[in-house]
Amino acid sequence: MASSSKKPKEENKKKEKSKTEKPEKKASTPQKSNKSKPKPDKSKKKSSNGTPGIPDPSSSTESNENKTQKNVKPNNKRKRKEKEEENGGEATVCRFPMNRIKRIIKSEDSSVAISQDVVFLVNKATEMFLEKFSEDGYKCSVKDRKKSLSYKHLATVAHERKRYDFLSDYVPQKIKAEDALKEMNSTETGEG
Amino acid sequence: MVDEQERLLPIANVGRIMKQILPPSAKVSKEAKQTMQECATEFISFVTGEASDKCRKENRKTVNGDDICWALGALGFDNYAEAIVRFLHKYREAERDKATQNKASCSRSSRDKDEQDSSEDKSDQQPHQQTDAPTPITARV
Repeated sequence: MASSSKKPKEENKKKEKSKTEKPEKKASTPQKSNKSKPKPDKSKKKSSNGTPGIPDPSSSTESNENKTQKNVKPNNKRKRKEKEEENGGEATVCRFPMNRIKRIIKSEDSSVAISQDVVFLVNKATEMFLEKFSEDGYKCSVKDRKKSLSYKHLATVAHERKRYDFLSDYVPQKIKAEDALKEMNSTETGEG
Repeated sequence: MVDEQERLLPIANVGRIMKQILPPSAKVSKEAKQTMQECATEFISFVTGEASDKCRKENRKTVNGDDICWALGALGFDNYAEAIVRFLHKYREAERDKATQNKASCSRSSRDKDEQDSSEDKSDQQPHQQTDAPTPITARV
């Protein structure tokens, strides 16, 4: 009981000591520090808790502490990203949104249950497919002596390689309307 | 009604991947990007359709990573299957690391709170808190 009553006096003494210590530093600090005289106690207390105790004026200490606290979170995020990059590099970074991939899979077959690993694998496989298809299309554009990769080159690649047979309906080769009509007429006469 | 763009992968992501793999001097027409967008979506449907058919034949309800790898091999994308298995192991390791880091950060934050509450007297703090900048505890309140 008595000890509890003594504590605030001790703290007041500490405040007085801290006030006496301050004026030397206050001269170099801005005027805002005058308003926040009682603050240094918190800084000292906080230092006891484990945070680095810096004997600066109260406002700057708290603002610095708040900044350090605020900066801790983004630094942690950066460190995590760096660790991810160190661990797997591009292996763990997904290029497409997972939710969109899930939606596409569900649209194909809604009754199928899929695990998170599957979404990741499909994500990476799609990325690899895009890279390969782009490379093949670019080679075709180089053969054609064009600087720009166009639909025509992708259609040529899809038509020529067996691996891309499943895309034949999605990347058909463009033909002139006259030729298309001739083919239609020939098929009709052939059937008839 | 589902938007056409929501049915496909984002064109920005598709364009970024193409730019990264092609030489810097190469250009890609808008039509080509749109075509790639549709082809990538069709690729996803193609592979997962094959994998889900396999599961259905084997009377299984859940498609797993092995089914996807099998489907890639069956459809002529053998080299993809080998590479993505390695990616999967690294992905699982990264997920485990994230889980352990989250647990550690949660335990640290809870310890800091306990230490602050025990060391500080609330009666002395309240007047200071009113004038001072918001601390984490008061900010949450």
